[in-house]
Amino acid sequence: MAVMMALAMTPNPGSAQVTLTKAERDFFETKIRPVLVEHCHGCHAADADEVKADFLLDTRTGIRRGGASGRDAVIPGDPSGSLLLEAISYGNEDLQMPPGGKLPDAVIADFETWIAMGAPDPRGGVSKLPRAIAAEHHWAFQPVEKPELPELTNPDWPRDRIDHFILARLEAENLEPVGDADRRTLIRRATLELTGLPPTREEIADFLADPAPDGQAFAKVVDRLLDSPAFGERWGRHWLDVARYAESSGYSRNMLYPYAWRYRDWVIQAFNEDKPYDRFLTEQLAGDLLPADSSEQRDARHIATGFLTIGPKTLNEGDPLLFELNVADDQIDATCRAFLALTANCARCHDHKYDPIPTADYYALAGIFRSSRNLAGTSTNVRSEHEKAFALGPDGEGLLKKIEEATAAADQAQKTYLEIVKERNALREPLEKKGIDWKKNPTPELEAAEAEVQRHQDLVRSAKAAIPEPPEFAMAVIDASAIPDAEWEKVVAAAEKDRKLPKPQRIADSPVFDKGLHDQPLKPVPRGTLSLFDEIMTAPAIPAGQSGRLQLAEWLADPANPLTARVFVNRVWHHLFGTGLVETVDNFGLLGASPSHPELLDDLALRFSGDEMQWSMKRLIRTIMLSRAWRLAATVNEKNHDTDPGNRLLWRFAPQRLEGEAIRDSLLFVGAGLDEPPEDGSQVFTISMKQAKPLQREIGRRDYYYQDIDENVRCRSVYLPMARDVLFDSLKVFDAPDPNLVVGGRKLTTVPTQALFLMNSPLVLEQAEAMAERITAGKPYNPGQRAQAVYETLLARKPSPEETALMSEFVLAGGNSKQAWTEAIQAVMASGEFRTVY
Amino acid sequence: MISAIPSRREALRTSACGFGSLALASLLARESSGAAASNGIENPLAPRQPHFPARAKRVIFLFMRGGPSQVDSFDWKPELTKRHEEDLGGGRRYFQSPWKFSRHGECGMPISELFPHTARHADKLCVINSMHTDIGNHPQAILQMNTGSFQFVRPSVGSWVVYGLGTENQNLPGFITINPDFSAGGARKYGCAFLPSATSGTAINQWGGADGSGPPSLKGIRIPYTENSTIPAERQRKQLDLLQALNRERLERDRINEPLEGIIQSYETAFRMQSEMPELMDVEREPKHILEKYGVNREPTDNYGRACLMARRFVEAGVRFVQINQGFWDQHKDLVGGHQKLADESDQPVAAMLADLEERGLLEDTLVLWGGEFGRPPILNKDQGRDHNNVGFTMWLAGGGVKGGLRYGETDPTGQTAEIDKVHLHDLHATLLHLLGLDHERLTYRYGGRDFRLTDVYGEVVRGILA
Repeated sequence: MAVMMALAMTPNPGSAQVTLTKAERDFFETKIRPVLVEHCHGCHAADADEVKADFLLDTRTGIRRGGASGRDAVIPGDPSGSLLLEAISYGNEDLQMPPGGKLPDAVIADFETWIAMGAPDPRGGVSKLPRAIAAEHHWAFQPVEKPELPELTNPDWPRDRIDHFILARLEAENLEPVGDADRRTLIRRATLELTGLPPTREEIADFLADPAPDGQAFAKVVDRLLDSPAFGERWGRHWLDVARYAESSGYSRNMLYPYAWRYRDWVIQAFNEDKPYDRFLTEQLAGDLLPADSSEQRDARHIATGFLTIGPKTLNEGDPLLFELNVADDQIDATCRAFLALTANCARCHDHKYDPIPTADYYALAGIFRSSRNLAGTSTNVRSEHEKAFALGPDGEGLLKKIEEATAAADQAQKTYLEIVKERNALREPLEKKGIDWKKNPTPELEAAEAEVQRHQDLVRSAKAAIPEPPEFAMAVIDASAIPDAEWEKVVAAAEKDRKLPKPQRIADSPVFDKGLHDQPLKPVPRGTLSLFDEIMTAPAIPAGQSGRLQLAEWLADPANPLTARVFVNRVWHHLFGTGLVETVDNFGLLGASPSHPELLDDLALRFSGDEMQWSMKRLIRTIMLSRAWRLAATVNEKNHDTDPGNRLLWRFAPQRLEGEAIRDSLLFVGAGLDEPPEDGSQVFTISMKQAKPLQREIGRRDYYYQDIDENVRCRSVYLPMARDVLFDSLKVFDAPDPNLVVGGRKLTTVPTQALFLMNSPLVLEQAEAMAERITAGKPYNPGQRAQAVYETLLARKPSPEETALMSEFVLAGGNSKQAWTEAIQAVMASGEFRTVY
Repeated sequence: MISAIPSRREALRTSACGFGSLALASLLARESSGAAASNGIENPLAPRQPHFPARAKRVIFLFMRGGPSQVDSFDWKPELTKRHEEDLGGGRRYFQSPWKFSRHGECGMPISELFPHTARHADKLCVINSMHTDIGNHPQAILQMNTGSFQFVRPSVGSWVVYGLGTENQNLPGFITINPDFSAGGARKYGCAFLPSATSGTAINQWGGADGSGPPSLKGIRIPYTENSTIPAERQRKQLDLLQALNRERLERDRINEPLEGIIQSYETAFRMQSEMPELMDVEREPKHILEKYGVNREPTDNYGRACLMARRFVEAGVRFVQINQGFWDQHKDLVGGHQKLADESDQPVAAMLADLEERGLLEDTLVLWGGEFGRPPILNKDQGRDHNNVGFTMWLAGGGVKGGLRYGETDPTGQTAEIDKVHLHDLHATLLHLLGLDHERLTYRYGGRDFRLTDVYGEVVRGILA
């Protein structure tokens, strides 16, 4: 089924038959059509070599709608408002058509007459831009269809449906998969992939000793690893790359986000508790709008919406409207890239150049996000709209109110107290003047006053004590309609005072902004989802009083959505195999790559969103890992390598470079050991709370943050402070992604700075020494046996005789001492194998 | 492909220092295939050909953070003298430069006495008096100067250059930035955004942005991870030999493993870098007369002198892009004191570097660029300072491919607004790339489904300044 393009604003408007009078028809056929054909069709008809400005005037619909400018070219009955007439009249210096020379005045007059008479036009149909036609056939925009399992020459090979598709491609190319990986390779591969840590020697021994058949024994390992909390810490991090997670605003004034870490923990937990992906998605976009059974659940769902507001923010932007639009832009970009692998934000200024995403769709989404409020807990002296954070707890918001009231009461009590003191002092004064010692000889009035002072002192004390402890906070997004009225009135009042602020609207459609310029608003477009799947699935109706985030989330989580499941399945595949079935994990649009195994992708997507897995992320991962393809050895077969050096056909398991997080965590794990996550959640939070004023939480200003940050921490990398542009070296040198960007697939490099880091950083030296301490603490003394312990711990295998010899020779030259072993161990830690998953 | 395997293994066994030839073989293989390694791991620093013959091979960018005042330095405005003390209200008034201008060089270029040493090189300077940029706030303007964009996350100029050309000396970083400060975008100023991370700048001597203070001393400065606190150098070489032997064992087992070959090579490079970088950074190895010229070991020039001398040593050794950051030229108060102090710190070292580069024959293909994120108006405020001015300011270039002794473009007679032959920051970036042999419209990187460039959709090469 071909997908209807979104470029037409109304469904198939060209099909309606129009009746023209003979005079109207004659006028068009004699005065208008010949001119269009002769002077315009060369650039503005469907058969043009290159359609200019997206303007097709070869149909009634097209000539009226206009092109990329967004303005109607012909408005029946309104010649002066019609852009076409403006262009051919040469009145506008920037738009003079046809470009070769002005048409005769009489012809221009004909067009004016024609438009004035209602632009009668017999031409039906809708002509499409070439890119619209390409998009109609684009694989990723077609519904996901259940493929047939292909016939195989060797039907005994597959262990899962996955394997059928892979073997079929290999057989078609006359290639044979390499053999299965051995147990040692497999347990290291699985443990690193699922937890980002190497297996322990005990775990290896258990697996080797398991008498169960390989498949069953390995399934047990996978299940154990999926149940380990370390699973969420690794796979949560994968998602945090996509979610552009960071703990500061970035840009020119880099303000800390003290509460961002709660979203991080929510993601980790979501993976660990195997939150179904459709729920995972929905809560991040609209958790605040879901009913909750408990205050904990309500809190968690609000924290999930942190996804929308942890993005980079231009908090130094002087223009509040532009700031608001920039925030919405980040939210549109993150949402569409993360869940759909589409670059919808290209349509901010013009219709998407390749994908069927018109500007109107972009602003339909902008309306949804602009009808929401960001509770980010950060601000500058320039922009404070996001200063409030979401108060957690059973009575979070109420507690804030109580604090406000109790604080006011305490202030009042203090004020009264001071007055009472004044009155009392007034009674002392005359006594003092008379030289009477009022301490010894108080008057009865003074005595009474002293008692009153005492009483008020107590009142002040208890009033202060009655101020409740503040709640905890999180970053979140809520619907603008959820803002309490009293608070909303303040926003409106502030906007009325400051003429620069945009007129606040709680829930409202956004206008299209001409060429993306914020001072050029055009017509508002109704809030809505992308229109590119309107023919495949029903576009949700967005109720008047709601932002539409919930409906957007439901539309994304609908199994009928052709992209959602495909995109996520592909992300998981990318992590497990090193390359996605679609290599461009964040772009499934027309400029993205084609899938290497399209049927496999569809099959897996349907299994994932269907009854078999019910969006379970763990089941998906488990299924892929238990396939035969994933359990292949990493060995090279010459014939296969000649034909397919990039292993696109998956004839082997291609070795993968570990990410910086896994390298650092593995080093700590085998060395001095990993510490618990920071008690406060994140160093960023701790550092922020040290500051009296939120305005001083700007990174860099007067060394702030740099002087406070402690790089010498041993928690897992996912818990390290993640301020934008201030990443830790251990992650940065190993290609940590820029958290300003959605990055589903990291760009990996091999550069000397990585070597320098592994050779010289105190972090590595410390871990090598800690491990050497254990290795040399007692028996065995034999360097060969020690080498075996080192190899098993670091690489999950036994050293070869050559390797044992090399190690032994090296440490014996250093007297088999702890220092010699530190150096030898560091060499293995620095080896290519340590940072590679085989 | 397969036939290469035995010879590679042979090479491993027979070569005395196997990795060297292996690395070479691997490099050659990669060059001949013209493609990245099959698993996408590549060396982004490998030297690459420019789009067309280059006039400059390397860049030294002297970034004068805060915005030096043009009418007090390189944009002489006689008309301003006539309007001196003309009241503009609010305590603001036109104010002629407190520094005297005189003509220098054969070209007779007017330069103020703020920069007497630089002035001696007037015939080398290509002064653009008609610069302008979009925003008059430091944080945004600094980001735009360094990345082309204040609104979006984009790679820095140095990263683009390294991405375009790679670097000549694999033992050194391709892009080094000296004395960058933490604020106003922090590491974004030399970050790579979506470009490969190795193209990002290596920072030397990051410092805090507390107003009034300068960067800490560069004496004895090292870049991170180039020295080992516990293992002596000789012993570390042995350790590295063990590491490489283990790597080769694994490579032999894997038979084909290009990433591992890359890793083996990276250790050799790293080891050389580790010995080369500290030597390069140790400017006191220079002869005494050179140190004196740059003002090293003497105040107020020691820090900037070291930076300039280091920059010269870096470009000489093949570093592609060196940036030196100085600030803050942001004299809202006490224009005279503030500008004089900063000029006294940097003027002599800059002049010494220009002379030194010329003597070594390096200046002809090294582009030196001097300037701030914007300039200052011809107006003095009530605090005896000048505020911000992004509609007109001055930068100068020297060396590779630009006309010396040229004043290009003009501001209005007061020196406030660029009027004639205006040069936008994007145009400057386009021109810089052009001089390096790169077409700013072709130097693109695809990220998230679209091609990005340093100049976005803007920028025109300023032909009038090309030699």
